[in-house]
Amino acid sequence: MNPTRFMALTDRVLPWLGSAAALLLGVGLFAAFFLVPPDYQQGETVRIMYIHVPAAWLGMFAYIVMTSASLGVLVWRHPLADAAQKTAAPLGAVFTFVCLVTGSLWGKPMWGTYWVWDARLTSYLVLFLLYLGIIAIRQTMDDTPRGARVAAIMTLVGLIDIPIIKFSVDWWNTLHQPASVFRAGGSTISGSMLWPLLVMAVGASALFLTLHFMALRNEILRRRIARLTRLSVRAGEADELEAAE
Amino acid sequence: MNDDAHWSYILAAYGVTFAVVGAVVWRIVAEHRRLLAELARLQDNGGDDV
Repeated sequence: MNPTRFMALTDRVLPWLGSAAALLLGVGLFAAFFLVPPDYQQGETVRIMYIHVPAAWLGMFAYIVMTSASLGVLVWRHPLADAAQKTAAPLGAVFTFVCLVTGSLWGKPMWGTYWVWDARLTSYLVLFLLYLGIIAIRQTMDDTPRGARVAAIMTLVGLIDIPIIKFSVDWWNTLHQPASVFRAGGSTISGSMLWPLLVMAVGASALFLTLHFMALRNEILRRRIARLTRLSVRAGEADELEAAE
Repeated sequence: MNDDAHWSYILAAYGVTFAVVGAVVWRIVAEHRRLLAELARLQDNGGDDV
């Protein structure tokens, strides 16, 4: 798909996607605050789960999007793949940051501390640092093909952190609880608490896609402006030369 | 720890989330408007040349 076709397609898709995100997040938040009962051990604090868990999933999902885009950069050298990789990184960093902060605010009343250096928390902090590193590379190397390739290679190297995050709670003794939604043998969460979580997760995913498409459109516009500016400068220089002759 | 104390953590968590995500949405929308205006200006000024 070329950038012009992408702009036309997202023109039609974005209003629907944004509306779906708003509706699902509205229903999910209403259920999280007014329908879900307090947990028998955690009390009201369990309500933090409805933003912490979707943010955690999206932090990792954004990295998978970046990895796919990086393959597009390195293998096919597709212009949209480069822009997709570049624009997914700040969004991934934002959701990872939200996950870390909400996790700390959940940990204090439940564990008695905001932070412990256990495998799950530490590997997730590494993911946040990876995002910051990739953003720094993109900013220092501008939109050069070399910058895109370096960021893509760093993204592929950092992919090793995703399975470490996922399985850290199985491989090591952690204060963080083991998987309770996607696990062999089914979810351990009660149905009355699970469905709002899934609604929030789908809504947050729709929000991520909406924001990513919008950021991608901005990046396409930015590149068009840069190209037009270069052409305009060249045309001005040609006019000056002609006048001098 | 009583439920009142729990609510302060819950509100802080949701407050941070709304503030951060809201700032991202605002920034992307503002950037989109700025870029559209700049593109229109460039096309008006040099559309015939380029």
